[in-house]
Amino acid sequence: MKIPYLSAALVCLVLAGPATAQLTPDQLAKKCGKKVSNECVIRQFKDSPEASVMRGSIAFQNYCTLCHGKEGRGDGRAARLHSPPPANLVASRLPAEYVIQIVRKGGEAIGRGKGMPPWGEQLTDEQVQDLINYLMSIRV
Amino acid sequence: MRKLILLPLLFVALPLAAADYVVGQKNKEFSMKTIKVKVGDSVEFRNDDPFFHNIFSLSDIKSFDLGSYAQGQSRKVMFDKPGKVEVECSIHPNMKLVVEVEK
Repeated sequence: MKIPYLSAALVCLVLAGPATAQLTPDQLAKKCGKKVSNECVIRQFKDSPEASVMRGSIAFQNYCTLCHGKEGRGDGRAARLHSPPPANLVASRLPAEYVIQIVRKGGEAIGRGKGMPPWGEQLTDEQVQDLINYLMSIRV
Repeated sequence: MRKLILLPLLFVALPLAAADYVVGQKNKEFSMKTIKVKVGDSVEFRNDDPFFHNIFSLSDIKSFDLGSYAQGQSRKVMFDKPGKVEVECSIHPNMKLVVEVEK
């Protein structure tokens, strides 16, 4: 599955420098050719931040878009069922560690809205970390 | 006089005739794909899995969100309008159930 804005996210990560990216355009081209696919990055550079963000994006599309929307703006098709509404993850400024707690334990367990389910039993630790890396990458 | 007393009782008793159904959630599936109920009936969604489920519906005739609940717990929904209600789980996107509510 090709997720269009992942390529843009990848470019942002590459441009963001060594703190968030490890892959250079040369490395990518060497392993994945001129047209870099998400699948290739995940397969060839599985331990890289870029691959983690891509895996996180897939997890997000599978589990989170229902309420948070395809772009994470809190406007998913089930958003209208919730009060308070689902968080706008693009605008969020919550620390990553706190977001991990929300994802794992759900909103109610940490005194937030009941609408956010606990994902700790559904997602592995790696998937949660990938998801957090993706959420950090879509913030504006 | 006796009829006058019994008549109101009859109307009070009518809603009690509504049925309760139980739909389980096991192995990330509903225990059935479709269930037919009548207007006024209730469906109890019981979590038989060792992890959370979060049952909801966005259908126009009955939208609801039962929130997250753990194994052994259940949540009940009364269907008060006829039509088809598509029920899903927000944690397990492959779970689908159709409740056909008849008059």
